[in-house]
Amino acid sequence: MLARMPYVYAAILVLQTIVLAGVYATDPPAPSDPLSVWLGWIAIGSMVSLLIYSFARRLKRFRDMAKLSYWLHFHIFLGFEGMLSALFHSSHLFTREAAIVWTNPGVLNFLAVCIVFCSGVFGRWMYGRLPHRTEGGNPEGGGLARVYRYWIFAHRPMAAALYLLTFVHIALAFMFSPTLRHF
Amino acid sequence: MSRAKTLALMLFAVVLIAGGWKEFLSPGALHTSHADIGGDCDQCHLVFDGIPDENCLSCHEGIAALQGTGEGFHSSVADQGCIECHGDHSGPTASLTKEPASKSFAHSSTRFALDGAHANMDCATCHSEPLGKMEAVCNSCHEDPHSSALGQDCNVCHEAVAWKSDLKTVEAHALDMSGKHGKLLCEECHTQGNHLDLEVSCNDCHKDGHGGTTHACSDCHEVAAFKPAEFDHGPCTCAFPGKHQTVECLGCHEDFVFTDSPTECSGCHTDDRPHDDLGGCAQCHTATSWSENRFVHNEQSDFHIDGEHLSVSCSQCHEGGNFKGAPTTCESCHSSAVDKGGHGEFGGCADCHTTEAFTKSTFDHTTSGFELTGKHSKLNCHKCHGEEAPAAE
Repeated sequence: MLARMPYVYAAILVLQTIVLAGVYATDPPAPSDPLSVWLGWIAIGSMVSLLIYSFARRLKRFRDMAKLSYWLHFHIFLGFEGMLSALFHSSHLFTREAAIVWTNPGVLNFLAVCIVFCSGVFGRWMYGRLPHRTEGGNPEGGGLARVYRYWIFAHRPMAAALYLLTFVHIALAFMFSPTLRHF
Repeated sequence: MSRAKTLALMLFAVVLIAGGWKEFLSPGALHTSHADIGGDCDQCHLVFDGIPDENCLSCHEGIAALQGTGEGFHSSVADQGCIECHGDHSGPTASLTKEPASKSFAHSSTRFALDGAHANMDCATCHSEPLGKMEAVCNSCHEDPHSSALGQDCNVCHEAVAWKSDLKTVEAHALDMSGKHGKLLCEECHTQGNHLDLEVSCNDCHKDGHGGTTHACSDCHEVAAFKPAEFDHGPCTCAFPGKHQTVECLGCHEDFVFTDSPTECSGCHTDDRPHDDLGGCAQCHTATSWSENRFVHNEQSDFHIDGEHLSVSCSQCHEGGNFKGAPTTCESCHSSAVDKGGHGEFGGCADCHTTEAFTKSTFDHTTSGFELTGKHSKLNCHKCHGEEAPAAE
């Protein structure tokens, strides 16, 4: 069952993409619209939840519940989910008339999501091309393995920066947004 | 990196943050109407308390005023927060009204229902100003061709479905539209937008042919028909009685010019005057009758008349209108009696005659040295003096 979860994840993501694309194409909600705000919360929830993979890598209790690869699938799904939700949550940046304020924490937050997401995709691509002794273990051999180690070294601080920016973004939204306090 | 460079970078960051950190946090540029508050987030936002309506209404006083009076659309949604329908930070020219609110908005709920051509217009065509500053009057958008002379209520004459002024009828016209006026088109008279100008006068349209008389046209003419014209000369009839009252206007007011009309007799009667200029006509004549003489000869001239002279006409003595140089001696008029052989020269006529009667002599015969007594005293002069009067000896 868990082995087939990637298909379920993919189906969820495709369906979600179609529905959101349809909604945003026909009647794009304002940034303060409940749908947009909820997508933000989903993105945050996904990004926080995908940390569970780090626990699964370190805690046997998680691995007893499911294989680490399944947790990785879940981690990747949440990564896509977070990216997708953040993309639609931030879609007004691309559709509105106003120029993007690149220093705005929301914009920086979205850029951080994109960077970390791309980084994750790149890491997963490398991970799939390296030989593994054990499930979840560090890959071995060659220059790509060295790059992979660098990537791990970089991906985590980037993710940490993403969480920091997310916190600032949410804090400022609560401080200044006229509508967010209703959620 | 050297320590100095690090310090400089930190200093730059501090200045940058202190100078405009709010600008950096802005989610997007404000609308141009809010441009002057850019960077001052607190003017609208309260930290952790959103944007209270008071912050909006403190500037949008027009909306606040309407809500205070219960007028206008915003009064009907006063229970909603401003931000439920409005937002900013979407760009200098982006709509400040959220799309769902725009779509659900019914203009009929405002003070100005969109009828006719208005229904198909883009909002921005009219709403270039903040809503609260807009008056629900036509000339907020339409230029008033009447220069505000007709007031603000265009609906009196116009409808939103068509600007053509079909609503105002001739019957509703404030001015008398009888006669030919009733057949006129509005624009034939109202070329300058002087629709409600209470000072409108006939010669706004009609050329004044009377040389700029100060009298109102209606003093002589009626609206229904320009002719016939009648004028009550009023007080003038005292000074101009008699035939003056029935004479044609043109008789005195040449070419219908009523200004500077003469009030002296000589102004009109110069050609009628049969004599030299003797001064004011009224010395002798009255306006009632030209022939009626009111000249008091014994008071107004040095020539005293009495007796039979009182019964003669002026022209018998003043032949050819010769008044000033009229002779004052008896002979100048009575010479014919002498020429017809009355008698010769005896000197002054008044020595024997009076104005009572020519035949009745007052000559005192005693002064001649031959006193008339007895029957002599009853004889006619001719009995002794014959037809030829003897020379006085």
